[in-house]
Amino acid sequence: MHLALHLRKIPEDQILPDIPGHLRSCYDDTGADFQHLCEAFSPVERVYVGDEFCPLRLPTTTQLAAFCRFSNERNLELTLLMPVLTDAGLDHCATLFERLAKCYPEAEVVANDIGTILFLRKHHPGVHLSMGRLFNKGFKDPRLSLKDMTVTPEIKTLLSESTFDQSAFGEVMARLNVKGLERDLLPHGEAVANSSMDYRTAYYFPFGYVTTGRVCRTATFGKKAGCDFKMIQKCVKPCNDLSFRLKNDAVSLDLIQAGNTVFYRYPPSRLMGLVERAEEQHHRLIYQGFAI
Amino acid sequence: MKIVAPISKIEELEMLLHCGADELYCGIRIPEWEKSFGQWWINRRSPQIANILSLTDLGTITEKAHGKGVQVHVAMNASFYPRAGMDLVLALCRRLAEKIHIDGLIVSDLNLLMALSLEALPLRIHLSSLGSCFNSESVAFYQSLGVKRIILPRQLTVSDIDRLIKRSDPAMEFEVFALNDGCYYEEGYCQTSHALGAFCLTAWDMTVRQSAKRRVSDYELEKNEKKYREYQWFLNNCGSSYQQDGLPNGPCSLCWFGRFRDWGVTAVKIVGREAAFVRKMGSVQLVSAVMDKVREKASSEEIAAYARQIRNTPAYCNSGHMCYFRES
Repeated sequence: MHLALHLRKIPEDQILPDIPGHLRSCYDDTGADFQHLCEAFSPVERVYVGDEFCPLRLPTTTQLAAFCRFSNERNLELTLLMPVLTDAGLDHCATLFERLAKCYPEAEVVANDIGTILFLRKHHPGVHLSMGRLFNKGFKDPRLSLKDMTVTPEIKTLLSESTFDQSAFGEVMARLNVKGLERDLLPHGEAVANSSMDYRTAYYFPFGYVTTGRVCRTATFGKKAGCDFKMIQKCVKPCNDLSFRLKNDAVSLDLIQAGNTVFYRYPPSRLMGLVERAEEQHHRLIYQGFAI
Repeated sequence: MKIVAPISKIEELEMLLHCGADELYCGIRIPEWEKSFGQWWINRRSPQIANILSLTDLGTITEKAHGKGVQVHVAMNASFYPRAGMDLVLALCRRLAEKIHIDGLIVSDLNLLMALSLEALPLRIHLSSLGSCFNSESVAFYQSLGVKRIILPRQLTVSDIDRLIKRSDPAMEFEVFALNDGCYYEEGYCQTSHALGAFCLTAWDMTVRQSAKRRVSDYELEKNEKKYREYQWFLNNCGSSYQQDGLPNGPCSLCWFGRFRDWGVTAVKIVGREAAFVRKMGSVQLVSAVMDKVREKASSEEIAAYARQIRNTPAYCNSGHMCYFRES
C-alpha cells in the first residue's frame, strides 16, 4: 500500500497531520475499532493538492510553489488534482501547469476531463498523468436499498462495476497515454473492483462521491442575496469552514455536502476491506479526511 | 439551426413534424434488458414513460420521419453499461442501424463509444450531454472516435459555449439545450438514478457537520432551504406549469438563439422525452416561433426581445433561474 494525503494548505507547524487520529474522529459515532486498520498504514509518501470538483479551490501559483517546496524538503511525492475545466479554465491553469513543471518536474497530475489530459500532453509531455474518478461512472445512488430486493447476478455485477472495469477502457487509456486510474468505492458493490487491467490504481478514502455540479449550494452561504444558485467565477470559499450532513430516514449511508459535491462515508467494514485489499494489491490510498 | 424534438409515442409524430421539428430523438424500451437489469435503465429516462415501446413502432416512426426528410436519433446514453450488458447493447445498436435504419445514436459511455468506433455502423454518433464535453481540447478526441455532433452540457455558460465552438474544428457539429428541465447537478457527473426519483428533489435534513469550523443558525439554514427549493421549482419547469396562452414554462436559452446561429451551433434541443403530448406540442411551437426569427435573419437583440415577449413571463425571466448557460 502507498499512502497519500490530500491537503488544502500547508500545516502551520509544517508537520504532516496524524491520519489515524483524524480517521477515528470521522467515525466517532460508529464505535468502530480501527486499531488494526491504522496499524496497516505505511508512512505518507505523497501529498495531493488541488481539487477534483471545483476550479475555484485550486491553489494559486504561489501556493503551489510552496507545496512543491514542502514536498521536496520532506522527500514526499506530489500530485496536482484537477477538476473538469472549460476553455477559460484551461487558459487560467496554463500558468499553474508551468509552475508545476518548473518547481516539481516529476509531479503527477490527476485530470478529470479529456481536454486537460490532451492540453498537458501537448504542452507538458513529460508530466505523469492519471485519470481521476470523475471519469469512472458507476451506480452510486445512496438511496438504493437492497433489502427486499432480488439481486440477480446481472444486477450484482452492475452494482460492482464501473467504467474503468471494462476492457475497452484500456484502449481509451492507451490513446490518451495515461498510466493511472483513481477511483472510490461503489456504495453497493464489492469492496474493491476486480479489474483485470494492469494499471496503477488509487482509491480515495474515507469518502466516495455521489454527485457534483457547477452550481454550488455551499457557496450560497457566502453570497449576497440575489446572487445565489448560479455558476460563479469568484467565491469567498465558505467550503473551507463549512460542510453539512444530509439525512433522510430512508438512506442508511452517511452523506456529506462539502462544497459543490455530495459524498458518502464508507461504512467501517467497507473501509477495512479496502485497506486490506490495498495492502495485498499495492494500491495507493489517498486520505481525504482533512480536505472534505 | 435545426430543432431537435423528443418523441416517445407514435401518436406524437404527426404533431411534432407539423409544429416544426427538424430532427427527432427518442429512447427504446428493451424487455430483455429489463429482465436482466430490472430498474436499471438502458438509457437515462424511464422505459415505460419516456421510451418508444417497440422496435416496430420505432421502425414506423423512422420511416415516416424519413418521408418528411427528418432524421431520427436514438439515445443509448446511460452513463455506463456493465460488461454483462454490453453485448446486448451492441447487438441493439447494430439492429437499429441495419434493420430500423435510424440516423444516429446518442452516446455518453466512453467504452460504448470506443466499441462503436470499431463497429463503424452506418449511422452518426452524437456525444450525449452526459459525455460532459466542457472544452475544445476534448473535441478532437471525440472526433477521432467518429463523433459527428457534440451535445453540450447544461452547465456551461454562454461565453464557455462561444469559446468552445470558436476553438473547435468547424467540421464538428454542436447542439445546445433550448427548452425544459433544468438539472441541479451536472448530469454527466451525477451517479444517481432517476429510477429512484430525482436525487436533487429528495428531501434532506441538512445540518452543519460537527467538524465544521463555522456554525450556521437554523434561521440561515431555513432561508437557504427555501431559496434552494425556489431554484428547484424553476429547474423543474416552474412546477410543470404553463403560461396563460398554453405555452410551457421552464428553463430555456431562447434569448440566445441569435448568438447560437452566429456562432455556428447546428441544432437546439427540446428536453422532455417523458413529457405529455400537450407540453411537447407547446415546446416545439415556442421554439419554432423563435426559430422563425432566426431564419428571417433577425438580429440577436431582436431575437432576444422577441423570445422574452413570447414567453410573457418577465418576472420569471428576470429571476435568472429560468436561463440555461447563465453567466455569473
